[in-house]
Amino acid sequence: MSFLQMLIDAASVGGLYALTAIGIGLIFGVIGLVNFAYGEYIMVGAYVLLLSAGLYWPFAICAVLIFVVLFALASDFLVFRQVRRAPPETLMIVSFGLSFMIQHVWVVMFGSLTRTVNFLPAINHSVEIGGLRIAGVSLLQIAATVLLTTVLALFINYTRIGYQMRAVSENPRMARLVGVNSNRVIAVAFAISAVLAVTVTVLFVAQTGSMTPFFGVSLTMIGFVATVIGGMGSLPGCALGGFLVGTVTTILQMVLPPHLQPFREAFVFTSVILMLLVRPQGLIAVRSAWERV
Amino acid sequence: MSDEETPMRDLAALLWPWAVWAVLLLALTLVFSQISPAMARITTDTLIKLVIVTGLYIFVGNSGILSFGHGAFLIVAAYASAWVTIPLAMKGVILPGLPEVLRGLQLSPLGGLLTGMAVAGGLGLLAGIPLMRLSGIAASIATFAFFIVISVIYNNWTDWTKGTASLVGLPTWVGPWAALAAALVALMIAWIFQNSRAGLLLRASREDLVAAHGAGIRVMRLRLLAFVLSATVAGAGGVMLGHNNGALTTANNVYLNLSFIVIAMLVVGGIRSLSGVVVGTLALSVLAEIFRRFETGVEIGGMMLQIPGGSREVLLGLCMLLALIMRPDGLSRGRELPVPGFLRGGRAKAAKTETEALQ
Amino acid sequence: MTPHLLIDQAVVTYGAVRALNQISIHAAKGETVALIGPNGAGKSSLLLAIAGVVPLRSGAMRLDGRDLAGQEPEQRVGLGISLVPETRDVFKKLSTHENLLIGASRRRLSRAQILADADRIYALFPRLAERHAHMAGFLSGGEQQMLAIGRALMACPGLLMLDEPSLGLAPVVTDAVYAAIAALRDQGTTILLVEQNAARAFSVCDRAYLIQAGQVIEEGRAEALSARGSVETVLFGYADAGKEMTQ
Repeated sequence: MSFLQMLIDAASVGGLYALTAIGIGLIFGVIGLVNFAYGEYIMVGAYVLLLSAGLYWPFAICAVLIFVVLFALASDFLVFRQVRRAPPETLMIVSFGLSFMIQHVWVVMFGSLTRTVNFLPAINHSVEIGGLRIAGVSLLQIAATVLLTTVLALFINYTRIGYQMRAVSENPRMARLVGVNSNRVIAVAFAISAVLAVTVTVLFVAQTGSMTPFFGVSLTMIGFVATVIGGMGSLPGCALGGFLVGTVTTILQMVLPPHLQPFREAFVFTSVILMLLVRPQGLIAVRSAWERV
Repeated sequence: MSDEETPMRDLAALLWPWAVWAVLLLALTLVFSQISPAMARITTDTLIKLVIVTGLYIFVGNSGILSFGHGAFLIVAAYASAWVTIPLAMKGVILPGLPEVLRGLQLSPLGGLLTGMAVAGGLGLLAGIPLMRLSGIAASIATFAFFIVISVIYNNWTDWTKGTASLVGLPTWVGPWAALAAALVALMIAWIFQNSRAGLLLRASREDLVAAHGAGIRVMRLRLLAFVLSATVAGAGGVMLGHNNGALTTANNVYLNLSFIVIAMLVVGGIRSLSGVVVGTLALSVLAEIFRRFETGVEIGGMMLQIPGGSREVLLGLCMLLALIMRPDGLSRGRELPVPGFLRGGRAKAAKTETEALQ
Repeated sequence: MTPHLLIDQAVVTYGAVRALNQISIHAAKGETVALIGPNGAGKSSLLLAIAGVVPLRSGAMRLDGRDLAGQEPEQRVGLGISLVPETRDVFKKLSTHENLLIGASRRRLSRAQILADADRIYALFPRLAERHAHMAGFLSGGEQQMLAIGRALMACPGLLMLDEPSLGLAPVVTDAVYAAIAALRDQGTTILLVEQNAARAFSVCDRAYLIQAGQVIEEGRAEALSARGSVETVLFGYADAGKEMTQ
């Protein structure tokens, strides 16, 4: 029974990581940017929830959605579009700089201390299914992951913007030469990654109820690990990587002796290095993302 | 010209850019360390950052691979030096978890510096052997993961490091002059390496890895050499940071932010030249200081100007982004200081064109 | 009458190298114009400059009298300029069908209209119809060339630019490609054709420019140029050598 319980825990934590990883992997796949500022999309959304406390919850979620999508579009328009042709390493520093700057803007506005909000406390209630006690939020996490990945996969494979996105990812210059408005396609990718970030925000805040201007960093790190493990640029790979990291973390939590618990992250990041050395294309091979390098 | 004169002149031409920066740094240190104790501290801090940026540059500038992992070398070197230099009487109290050998050991500041550099270099060798096989963004990501691993370990290895609490009692022997000496030596090492055979071959490989392999250049070995050298120099900077503050901590992502600032200094200055190292470090340090002043309040023409607390980082981040957007090749655009005509001999010229051809 | 395409004193440089040195050419509506010249003469640079991916250092380009300066490559596709590059650059991980659909990115059409246009391309190149669901990366060189041309046609170009369409193709495939070019010419599309195989180019073009070192050195009707033997001089450095090729 405890094995099943663990499986559900792993799936729900993994789902959150998978969403983060897909948000990062999508942008990397399309423009070769390792977006550290992705964690800030998640973070600023949490503060919008804080400010909209008291609103009927669907309105609060709408407010977050609108703000974060605009925020992500602005980050592309004002910053990343300006350095579109820079090598990926430079893009990585630029996104790091942007992330650092946003965090400190939020420190100036909200202070660096932990703020709390009681958002949707109802979903933390547990439900009993077949003798298992499962937190409502876990179920939501699993459902949201399944739903969003399916919708995204359909979107990318079967819509006009979807194949344009794949074309920009493969050959940006030729995409423009056949008339694809690549800036618009990239903007759509940013908007999608923002929607994923909002989902993570809502689930995370509903679960923990707390935030600091720095809480996005650790989520980005984990999403980033999952992205590398799954193969950057491959969306199924990112999802798989997220679930894998979730599972490994859950298992480590159970099997590691208490004095080694704090070093959990070190194990996870060592696996990133090993992955890059042994199978740099990730679990699911997508050559193009790496060939741009 | 006589034959004996040429080698001397070649050497002078070779050392010219280093010498110019050395004189400039010496002059700046002379002036600023005298103004006030506060300015002396800032001067020291800037020069230490210069050591670290130079260390980073030795690897990044020559190999073309951006390392996000050098923060790890700062951490290990700083703590290694602390373990061997904190006075015995304090060490027993502060770090009872330290093994007997270390608890009974007290080295001179120089001993601590060398220990720190050796540990950083050793770790560079260990980590470099697998990491140097990677290129491009994969290498950047792997070095970053390496940094996180080290930083998580030191953060939680409280018996030895006190983690997010402060480890105090480090002898504060670092002042402007010690930092200046370290910076000049670091710049010299970087300059010599960049003009050595190994450095030139590595730079050639940076442009075309496949061709370099084809020409029989053992790229991995050269990269590893640069990485270890780079880790050692950066480690020296890490040690000096600790002995400047007198305390060490891993709280509040200090090393993550420090790594970011150091990388930004290198990138803003220009990754491809040693001049970029100096320019970038000075430019961002000066800006940071100006913003810090504005945070405490500045009087301009009878008006008190003050920006809200914390906006220093915002403005600094903004300046970095602007620099990266407007000058993606860095402020130096990858160029070194030109050697004046009177120093340019036949051989120096040949060497220069050879370098350009390789670049 | 203003010509359809007018290039006036265009200069393109790559660092210190001048790829185009004050070149001036023009094409009337519906005309098929060949650009002939040796490797490195600047033919491809000229097409890339017209498509907007290589910036002009000086000079002007006009389409129907309208200045092209400042128009992004994707906007030029909207104005009717389509390029089939020498490297073909089909999107390898998109299906043949998606490669065609993406060619219509600039046109505001219903899905049905786009599919009808794609059917016309399939009629032009039946080979593509057989392989419409395959990833383009798995197509043969000739099929990729057909797909690249088909993709450009999906934009309904007023000006179609073809860079070495016969390069590396088997003679049979080249025949199919040239049959398609002739058909397009007959439909009234203006065509700018870069070709090393001068005989092939002369078989479809109305007029030709001989280009060397980024400049036009001779211009005229196809028959006149081949009669004068100028082509051999440009391509091989002396007359007579290429006689067999042009026959």
